[in-house]
Amino acid sequence: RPGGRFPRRWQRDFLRDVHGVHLDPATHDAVATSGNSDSIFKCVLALTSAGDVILSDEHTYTGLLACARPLGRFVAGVASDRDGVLPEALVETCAKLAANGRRAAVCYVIPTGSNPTGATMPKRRREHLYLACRAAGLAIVEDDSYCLLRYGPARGLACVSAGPPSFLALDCAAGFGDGRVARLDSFSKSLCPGLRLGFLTAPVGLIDKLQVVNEVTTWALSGVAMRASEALLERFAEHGYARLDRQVVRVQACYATRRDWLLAACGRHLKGLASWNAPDAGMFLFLECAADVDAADLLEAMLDAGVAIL
Amino acid sequence: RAPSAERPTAERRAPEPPSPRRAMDSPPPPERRAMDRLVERSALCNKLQRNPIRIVMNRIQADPRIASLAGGRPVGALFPLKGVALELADGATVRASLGDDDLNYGAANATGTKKLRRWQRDFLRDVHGVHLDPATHDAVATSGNSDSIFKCVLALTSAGDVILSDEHTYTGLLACARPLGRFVAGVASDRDGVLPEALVETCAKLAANGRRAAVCYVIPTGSNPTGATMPKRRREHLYLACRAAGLAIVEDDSYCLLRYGPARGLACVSAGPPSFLALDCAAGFGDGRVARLDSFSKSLCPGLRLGFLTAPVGLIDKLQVVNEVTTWALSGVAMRASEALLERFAEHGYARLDRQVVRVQACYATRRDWLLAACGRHLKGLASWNAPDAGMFLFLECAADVDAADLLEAMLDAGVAILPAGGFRPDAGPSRAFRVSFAQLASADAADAAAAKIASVLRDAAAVARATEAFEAHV
Repeated sequence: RPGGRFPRRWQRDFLRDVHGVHLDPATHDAVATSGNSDSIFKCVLALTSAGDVILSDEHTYTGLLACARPLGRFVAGVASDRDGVLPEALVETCAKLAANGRRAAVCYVIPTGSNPTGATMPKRRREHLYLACRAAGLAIVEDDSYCLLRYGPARGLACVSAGPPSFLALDCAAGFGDGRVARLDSFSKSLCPGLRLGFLTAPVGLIDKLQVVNEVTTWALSGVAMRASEALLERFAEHGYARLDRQVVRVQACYATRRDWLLAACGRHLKGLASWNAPDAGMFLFLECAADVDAADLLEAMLDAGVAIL
Repeated sequence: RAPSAERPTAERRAPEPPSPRRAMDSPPPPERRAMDRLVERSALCNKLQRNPIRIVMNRIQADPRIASLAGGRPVGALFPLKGVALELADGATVRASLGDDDLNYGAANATGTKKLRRWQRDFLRDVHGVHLDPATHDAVATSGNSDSIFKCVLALTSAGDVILSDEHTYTGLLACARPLGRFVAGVASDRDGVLPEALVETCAKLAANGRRAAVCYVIPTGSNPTGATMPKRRREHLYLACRAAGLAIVEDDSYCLLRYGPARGLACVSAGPPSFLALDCAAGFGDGRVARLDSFSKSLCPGLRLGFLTAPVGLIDKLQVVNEVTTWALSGVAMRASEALLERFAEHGYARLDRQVVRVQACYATRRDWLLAACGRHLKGLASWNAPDAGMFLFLECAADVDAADLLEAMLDAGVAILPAGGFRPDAGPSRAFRVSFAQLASADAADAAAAKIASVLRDAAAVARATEAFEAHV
C-alpha cells in the first residue's frame, strides 16, 4: 500500500484524537489519496456504473458534475433547505427514479461549509439523512474538504468535536451505523493544495476494491512524496497536534476575518438588493438576488463591472 | 477542431474495411492532425466539459481589474511550506523553493509544470533527435506509465471498443481495459512484434462484426513479455498499417533506456530504431496519431511516479481537461523536486543521467548474461529462448507440447517463480511459453540455480508428455 502503514496509522489516530471516532479495523480502514478530486473520481468508479444516478444537494460542487458526466453517470439534485438535503425528498427522488427504471447509487454531501451554499448540516439532519440513505440503499460519499475551516467559538482542531458528528462518525456508531460511508479528507484547505494529500476512510469492502482500482488505473502515489508527507504530518502531530492546531487557528482566523469583511460590506451595499447567509465554515457566501433574475444573465455585467462571482 | 457533440454509441457507423495495399501506399495528409479525429471516439472526451470556474478564471487572469470572488482558492500566505529537498544517493542534495504557483491549485496539477514539459521537449530533441513542432505536438508530465495508459484508454476509446496489441502484451493493459468495458485483441505476431498485414486483417474482421478497433498498443523496446525490440522497417510498416486501419498508436516505451547493445548510456537511443513518435513527427511520413509514454521507473526508480506523455495537441488538450476533472493529482511539491532532480541529471549534456543509465544497463546486461549462460547449461533440448537486447525479460518456450500454465504449481514447488505466457495473452489462450525476468537475479549462482529448477520441471513435463503420447497412441 502506498505509504505503508503511515496513512492508516495517522488517520486512525487523528479520527480518534480529534473526531472522537474509533475505527474498528475489522470494519473500517483508511488509505492515502492524491486529494479529494481523485477520491471523488475513484468513488464514482468504484460505487457506480454508467447510467447510475448520484444524488446531491440542489447546489453542489461543480467538480462532481464535471467528473460524473463524462463517465456517463447522472447527478440529480434533491430538494434542499438551508441545512442541506431534505431526507424525505431524497427518499421520494429515489422512488421516482426507480419507477423510471433508474438506479440511484450514491448520495454525495459536503456537510461542512458546503460548496456552494456555505451551509453546515446540523446533527439531527445528518442522522435523518443517514437513515434515509439506508432506506434508499445508497452509499454516502462525505466530502469534508472544509472540515477544519470553521469560525465558531471553538477554534483550532477543537472545532471538530464542538461541531456535529461526521457521517463517518455516524457510520461507526454502535447500534446506528452499518458501514455505508466513504469519508474524504484533504489537506488542501488547511495546509496547501500543492501537496496533493488526503485520506479516504471507508468500510474495508470499499477500501479493498479501491486498492485494486488504483493498481489498474493510476498507480500514482509516490513513495517519495509519501515519506515526505509522513515526516511533515508527524511534525504537525507532535505534542498533541500542537503545530497543526496553531496552523488551523491561523487559517480559520484569516478566513473568518475575510468573511466578516464581506458580510459587513454586503450589509452596507446590498440591503434590499439581495439576501445572504452568514456561513460559519468554508469559503463561500450564498447571495440570492431580490429581483427575479437568472444570475447567469448577470455574469457578463459583473465581469464588466470588475467583479467575478459565479 | 472536431466539435464536441455527444455521440451515442448506437449511431456509430461501422467503419469501412480498409484496403491494405492501396491505403498503405497513399501519401499522408499534409497536416499532422489525425488525433483531432481519433479523440472523437472517446465518449468521455465528447462529454468533457471544462469546469465553468476555469472559464471565468481565464477572464480574470486576462483582466487584472476584476476582483475575484469566484474561486475557492486558498490564501497563499497561510501555506506552511517554502521549499523541498531531495537527498541523492551520491551524497548531493537538490533543493527547490516553493511559491504560490507550486503550492496552490493550477493547471500544472493536470499537465505538469512548464519546466518539466520543456525538459521532455529538450530530451526528445537532444537524445532522440526528435523536434516537436509546438503547432502539432506537446508533452505533459504524468505519474508514470500506468496512469498514462489509463488516461489514453479513457481519451482514445469508448466502452465496447477494441485495443489491438501483440499476441502477448503487458498484463497492466488487460487489467486496466477490462473493468472499463474495453476489449483487448492480440494480433498475430512474430519475433519482431505485431505483423502489419495481420493487424489490417484483424481490423477488417472486427469491422465486419460491427466492432470498432480504436488503438494499437505497442511496447517497441524490450517488449513485455517477449523481450523483443521492433526493428525499424517493421515499425514503419506497422505505422502505415495503423493509418490504413484508422488507429491511434500508444507507444509504451517503458524500457527505452534499458538496452544492452554496443551503444551504451543515452547513446543507445539514437543507435536504435526510431520511436513511433519519431515516425509520427517525420515530415512527409507522420500524421499525428502517436501517444508516446516515457517513464523514469526503470532508469531512476518507480517510487518517483514520474513520466511524460508526448502526443499531438489534439490529445494533449483533451488530457488537460480529463486530468482536471478526474485525478487532478500532480503535486506541485513533487514536481518542483523532480525539476531540480532532472536539471541536475541534465547538466553538462546529461552527464549524470548518462552515467546512471550506463550503470543501470550494465547491471541488467550482466544479469541477462548470467541467465542466458545458465539456460545454455541446463535447458538445451528442453526449451528455446531469445537473447533480448533490451528490457528485463526472456521469453522461454518449452520444447514439449505443454501448457505452461499447467506447470506453474510445479515450478513454485521446485522453488522458482516464472510467469506462464498465457496470462499475457489478451485471449488468455494456452501457451507453451514462460516470461522469465532476470532483473532480480543477484548472482550467476542464483541464475544457475533458477535454470536448474526450471530444467527439472521441464524434464518431468517432457517425460509426462512422452508417456501421454505413447498411451494415446496405444489407445
